[in-house]
Amino acid sequence: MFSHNQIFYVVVTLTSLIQPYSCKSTRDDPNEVVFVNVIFRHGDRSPIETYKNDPYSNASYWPMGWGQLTNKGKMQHYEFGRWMRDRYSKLLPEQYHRSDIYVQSTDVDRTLMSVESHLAGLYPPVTSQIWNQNLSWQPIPIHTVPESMDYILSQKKPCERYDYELKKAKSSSIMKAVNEKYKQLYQYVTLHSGKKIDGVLGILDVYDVLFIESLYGFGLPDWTAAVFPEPMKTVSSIAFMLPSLSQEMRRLKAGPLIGQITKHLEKKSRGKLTPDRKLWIYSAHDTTVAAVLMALNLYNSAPPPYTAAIIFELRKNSANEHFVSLYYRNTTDQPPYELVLPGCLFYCPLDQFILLTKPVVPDDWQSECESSYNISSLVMHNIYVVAMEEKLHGSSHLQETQPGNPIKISEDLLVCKSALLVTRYFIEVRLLVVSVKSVKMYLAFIDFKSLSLIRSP
Amino acid sequence: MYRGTRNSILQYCEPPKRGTFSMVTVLGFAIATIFLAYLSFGSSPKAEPTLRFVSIVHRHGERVPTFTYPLDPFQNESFWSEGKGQLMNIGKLNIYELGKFLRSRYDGFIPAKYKSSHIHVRSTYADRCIMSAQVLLAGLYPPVDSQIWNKDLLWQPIPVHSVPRNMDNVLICGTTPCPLFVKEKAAVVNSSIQKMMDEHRQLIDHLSKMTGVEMKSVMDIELLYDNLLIAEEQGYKLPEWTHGIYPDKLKPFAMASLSVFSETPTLKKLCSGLLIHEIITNMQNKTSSADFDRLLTLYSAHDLTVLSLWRSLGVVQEVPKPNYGATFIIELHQMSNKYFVKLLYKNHALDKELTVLNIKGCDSVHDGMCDLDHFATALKSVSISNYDQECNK
Repeated sequence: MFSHNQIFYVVVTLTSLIQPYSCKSTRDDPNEVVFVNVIFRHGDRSPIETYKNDPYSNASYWPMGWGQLTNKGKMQHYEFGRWMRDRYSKLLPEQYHRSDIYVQSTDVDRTLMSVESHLAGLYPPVTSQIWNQNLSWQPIPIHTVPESMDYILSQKKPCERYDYELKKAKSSSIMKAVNEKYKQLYQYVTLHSGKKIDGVLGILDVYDVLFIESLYGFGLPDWTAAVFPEPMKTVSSIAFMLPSLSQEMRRLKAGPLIGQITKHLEKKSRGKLTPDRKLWIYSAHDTTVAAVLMALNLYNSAPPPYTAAIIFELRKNSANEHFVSLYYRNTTDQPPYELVLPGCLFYCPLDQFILLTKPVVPDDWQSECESSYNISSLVMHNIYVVAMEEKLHGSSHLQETQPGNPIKISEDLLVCKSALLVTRYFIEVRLLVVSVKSVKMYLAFIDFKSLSLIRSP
Repeated sequence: MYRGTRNSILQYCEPPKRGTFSMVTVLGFAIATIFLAYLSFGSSPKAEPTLRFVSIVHRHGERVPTFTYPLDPFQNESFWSEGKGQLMNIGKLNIYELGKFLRSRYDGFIPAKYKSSHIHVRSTYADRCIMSAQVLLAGLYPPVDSQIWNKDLLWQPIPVHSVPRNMDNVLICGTTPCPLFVKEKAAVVNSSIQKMMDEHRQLIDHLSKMTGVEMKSVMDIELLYDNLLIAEEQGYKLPEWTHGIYPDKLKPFAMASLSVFSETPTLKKLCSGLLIHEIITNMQNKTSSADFDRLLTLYSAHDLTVLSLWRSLGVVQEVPKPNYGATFIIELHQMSNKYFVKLLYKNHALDKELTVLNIKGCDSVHDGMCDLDHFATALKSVSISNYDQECNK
């Protein structure tokens, strides 16, 4: 390829072009939360559909209708709203003000109702906003987009390229291996449930019904004892990975939502967010939560439970530097889990955060859906992540994660490993932050075709 | 439930054993009060037994002005704590009352227990419309029995499906690109509207001078009228210059501004065609499909939506300027094997009486109702199912 000297020359040139940056610039912990974006799943619901041999398929078992929020679900989100009020009491004034928050929901009954309940807990009317002496509730606007047109939150707008990628993912070697491993399970569940199952998504459908029925104390049929919850639960969690298996899929699935959030964070940090919001709420589904976690390489291999939430906090330290801290709230038993974005620290400098998430954010979703796109930005990203991991942790923990980690099962890691050989030179000259532009220049020296990475439909 | 209470009152008042005067007076007064309360708030089934389906298109409740002008004495935010264009507390309360009005009118037809398949609620993108829909539902569906999920809060969440402004061709006029709409509207503005502006040049120049903003179109004057109307309603003293001008001289401009959007047959189609089509289709589905569970569709929208619908339907009565909570009701009734449409209207959320409306081409055959088939036929030319197709005609 090319000699060390050449690379050294490139590196030196690049370092002189970009501003020096130290990871240790954190003078103090960024304690002030200035802005919050949260994506959550709806609360407890009735089954969305039933399976053929379900002894509880009669609608009378679920008087609220299929896929509807239950009283328990309303209470869960009401309590979640109260938790938010408590956690962000400094950030959010008690009085609702239309500029402080923006609320978006998928256009589905249970998500709309969940966020209504959430807001009832977050903003009980106070002082001049009490409009009805007998009712401690006030209306707050919730915005929706019809599902067929919503590529940001419900992620249901048709996308040809995505459909192609999904098909490809389903027949990928890893999914073939999964299907081979659980072939007997598929046959067993098909036989007893009466529902034809030929993949992980089919198992998830039945698992979801069984899960809810067991939650409500309905006695499950005997056949389920051998497969529920395990291994059905494990297979279901793979069903949440499948829609975001490859980087291309992540870009087209959760990418626009992540892009919208990073745009909010970036604008807010520059004082350019108008109106100057304090909280952005996204009310959505387990699929949405899983897709975002997958895109951030943070999925914990468990189906997101009711009210599961990803919280993005934009924080500021005394030196006015902005950081993003991520949390996953999947239980009420303890404070939310801190998530560390691969390639960054828990308090992730905003610039870093944007840079690290950029590769999964499409520039123009619509046109990307209509055409193949250049993979180099993804490769670039992976090189960068692995390099940062090595610098921060001595090695990349991406390689040490449990079996089934999406990174490992995708081909991306191979790319990273090959690229690492070259990347080490960067680390040696302590090049910690590389602007996208300079990475592009660097990539220009590598013949990626030789790594046989260019894939197109 | 209420019937039980009434029976117990009757039992109680039957044996007047101790006949002291004061006792009788007190009792009589108490009973009278309860009866009066019963008459006005009673929730006994009142819905007509012939009712099959209801569509309601209403305007949001009282709001803050969406427009202010440089010389506006009330432009400071302190006069309007909720913010520009936002629903005010009085608006919340009045639309909540509208919800209660609908509950009393349709109780027995629309079950007290909320069920998602019974009702669909659609709102425009606007905060005030989404919020109005929410408070209306709070009045229509206070939780009962097993639906009380929080005993300290007698409210329950009910989905309101709103549509972004640039995607809404059902309740909003001309917000998605449509060359035909632009062309048609411009033609109206350049002819009759321009004529109106020219004829009142002196008045318009005066308005520009007094407000500090150039009044370039009827819409500018409509917004000014709206601003003054709200300030007056809120008890603010209007500036001197408005005397003799507001409301009488400005109202025709406000009406003209709203009417532009439904002035020609093409504009009527583009502005209200999808809505009319949806309303008729729902009624027809109700007559033909037993699976169509829905009883009520609510549309939370604007004065322009209500006024355009009125004109596009060809209602024979004179067009009003829709007030806050103006409510347009389209009821489907069944009598033996025939279906009939009844149109009802009230101009403000709190108005007690509903006016029966009639449309051209569909004569009332029974109690202000006209035949559903005739109704659909009469509206065939204005009802559309594909907006883009109409735009490119």
